[in-house]
Amino acid sequence: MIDAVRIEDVLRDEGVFVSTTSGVSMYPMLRDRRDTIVVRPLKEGERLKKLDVPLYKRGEKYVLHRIIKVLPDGYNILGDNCANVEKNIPDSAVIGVLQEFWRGDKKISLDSFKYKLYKWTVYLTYPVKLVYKRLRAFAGKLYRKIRPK
Amino acid sequence: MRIKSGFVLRDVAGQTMVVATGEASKDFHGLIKLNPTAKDIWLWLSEGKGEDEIVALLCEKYDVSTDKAQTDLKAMLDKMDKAGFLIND
Repeated sequence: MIDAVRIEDVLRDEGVFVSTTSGVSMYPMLRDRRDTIVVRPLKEGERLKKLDVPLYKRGEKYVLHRIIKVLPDGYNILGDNCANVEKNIPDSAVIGVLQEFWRGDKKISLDSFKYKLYKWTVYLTYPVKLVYKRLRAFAGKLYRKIRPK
Repeated sequence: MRIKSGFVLRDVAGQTMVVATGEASKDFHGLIKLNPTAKDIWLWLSEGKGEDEIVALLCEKYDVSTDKAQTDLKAMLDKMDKAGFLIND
């Protein structure tokens, strides 16, 4: 979701990482290469809460998705526009957490009412979204099988 | 001379940073911090001001000589050009 730079180095040296993101996995909150994220490093031993948005490493890739469940030593994580939960992401993979973001030129505070409403809406409507995405995928498969060639 | 579209300023924790968005973000992955003078120059360039006008503004705002302002502006523009932020019309 984020282009490859040594983000760990930036977080360590600058205490903050500012960038745009690529991809649509956090849409509609973050639009492909249009919005700007501000990520801070984690404090020593800090654990994140449900609906926080951690920056973590998946192999060599950096991913910024939302925590939907806090586990004893990790998290289950899901992109706002994704259907598949990434389970058991260990604490050791998390290198930072979203602190604020700009949507276009508008700075969005994670403490604002609108943002809180957004994150809970995304979380609570996930089951509906999952059913819709699976039905749509099934319908697509079915159509490709039965359409006249 | 003007700033390429896609580069935006963000004030974060008391620091001003340049971030690439849109097409510009495909080629530029770095993080550039600007000091207050550099931020002013960036903003004035964004407003379409020319080099002479910016030199005059630097002299006025920072109470420096024309030579000093010209030297500082040239240094900043060279850096911006090397970083690929500028379009020379």
